[in-house]
Amino acid sequence: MVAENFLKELKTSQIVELETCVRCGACSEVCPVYEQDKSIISVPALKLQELRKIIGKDVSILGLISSASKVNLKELRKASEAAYLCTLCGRCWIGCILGIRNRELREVLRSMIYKAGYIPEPLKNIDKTLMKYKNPYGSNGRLGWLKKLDFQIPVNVKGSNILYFVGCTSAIRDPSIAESTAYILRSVGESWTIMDNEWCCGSAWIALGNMDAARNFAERNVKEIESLNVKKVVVSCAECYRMFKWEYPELNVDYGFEVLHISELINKYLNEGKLKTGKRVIERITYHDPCSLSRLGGIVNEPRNVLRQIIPREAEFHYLVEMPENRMNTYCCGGGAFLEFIHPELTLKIAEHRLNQASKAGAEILVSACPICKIVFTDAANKLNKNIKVYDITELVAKSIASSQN
Amino acid sequence: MFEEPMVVFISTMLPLITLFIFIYGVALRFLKWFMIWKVLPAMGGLSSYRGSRLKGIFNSFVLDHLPSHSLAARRDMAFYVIGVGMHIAFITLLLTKAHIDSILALIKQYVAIPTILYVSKPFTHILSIIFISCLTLMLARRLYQYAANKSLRVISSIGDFIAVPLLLVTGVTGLIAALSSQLFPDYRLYIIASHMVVVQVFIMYTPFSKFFHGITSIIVMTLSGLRKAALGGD
Repeated sequence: MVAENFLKELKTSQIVELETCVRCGACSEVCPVYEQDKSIISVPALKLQELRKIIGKDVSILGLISSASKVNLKELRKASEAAYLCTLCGRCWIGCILGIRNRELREVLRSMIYKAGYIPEPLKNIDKTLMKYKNPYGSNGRLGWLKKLDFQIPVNVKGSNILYFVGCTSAIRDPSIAESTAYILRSVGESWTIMDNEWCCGSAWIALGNMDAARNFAERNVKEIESLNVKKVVVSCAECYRMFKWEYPELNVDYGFEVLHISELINKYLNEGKLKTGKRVIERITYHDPCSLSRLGGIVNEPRNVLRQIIPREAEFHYLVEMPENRMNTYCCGGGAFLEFIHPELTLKIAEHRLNQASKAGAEILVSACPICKIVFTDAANKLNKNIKVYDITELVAKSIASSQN
Repeated sequence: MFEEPMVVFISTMLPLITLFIFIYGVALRFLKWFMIWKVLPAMGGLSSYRGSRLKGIFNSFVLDHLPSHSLAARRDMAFYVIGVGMHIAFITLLLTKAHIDSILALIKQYVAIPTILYVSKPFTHILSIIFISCLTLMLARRLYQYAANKSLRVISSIGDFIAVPLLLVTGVTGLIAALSSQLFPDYRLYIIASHMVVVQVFIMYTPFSKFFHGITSIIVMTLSGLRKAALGGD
């Protein structure tokens, strides 16, 4: 019986968090989805209330003594819409005065809903696709981006110093990020490789609510990577970074290699003098911290340090401007956790809000370090005719390196 | 005639009942957590820390609550000021002479407690007014949002409409009790007795209500601080 496993999704500390929420509503003040949607089902604390109702009897003393689960399936079905009306950006955690990790509790709620089979219709297709193709985009051509390159990419080279884990979005939806990253690694003369049998890092499964599949994918990826005997794994996707660095240990998937985001590696190369940037960008840049890299990943300084190396040094404050909500407080792009598949209009609104913040800051270029953010912002800028260019950090660095070599 | 047994009951018997119910409630909570602890993992495995754990916890308890750092403050300063004002006033009011003396009266025969600094009387009155005002505004905010079908409507529970008024009554009776020797000397005993009763109802209700966040928030804020220390981002 599926219901018996529901409680296992929770941690003791999460029960304490559920019991600590005083329903003050501070989370809704900071939630990008609620701010743009304004419907009461998007209130973050509501999901905690739903979770409390669902497991209420289970975590009572009587419920704990008796073995049968009393998870309320009716409540679970009702909670489905609200649970997926969220980008899992984690801003509610930073906004919560008590520091309740609402986002992680929502993951638990999603996993219960997934187990009961109540996930929203648009996500059911993604679920099948992910299972079949091992990526959420239904593509067999993960290595298609290699064909566009005019240099050879090392594939499955054992004993390399670095493995570049490309990620589904960079490999399939926005190959220019993969190409730029490969160009940077090649420019440094690093011993590196990619693998030809990558699977999704598992973040898509977590967004859907299938924790078991996330764990299986994680274990399989780690096994394949370890068979290549590499020292470091570099990712250009913020979601992949969060998964490898923070979620794999939580899923009890251990590994023996170092995980770096590409911005960390570029920053290191620049500091060591291994990488030389060339022509400087003489347009005003603003950096959008991807939620999974900053608030949920802890990387906020390295991308900024990298950007400082590709703008005119003498007028750094003029060329690198900050948006009001940055670093750990960053605003979501709107594309996380498949929100754009369920509510594309809401994703567009959230992205528009962020693009307006960038414009108000005086930026002509918005730079991110996540392929999902880049795609969402590019689409929004095109649809809304916003006069702002969107780049990934790897693209700007690759351009600058190329100009120094020409 | 009537006064003496009533006062004796409120000051001797009722505190024992209160203490029993409070301990019973807390024990139930801890028992539940203990049982959950046996069936669930305690917390996620934080495998590495980029920042100092002590600094992370300090930030979580202190720095993150300053208006310059709090995201909630930046988003809604009025709500932040009211919330923080209420909590600071409440904690400070617990240190007034009358409160310390009444606690000491109960336990001084068992424990030797060193003299501590009391909050002075005029300051007590100001704090009480701040406390009552902030609580009233918080209740008004919840009622307004409830009526206007805003976010607090869907997340409020019956407990919210019991807890805040109960705390409000505690504050109001406390202020009246503090002023009673000047304003209502004839009714002073009744006023103080009513405040004591309300306070004890509040204590009895604490383990079964949202007031328990006073204890659980220490755990949650510590965990949140550790998470931030692990990330080490800002």
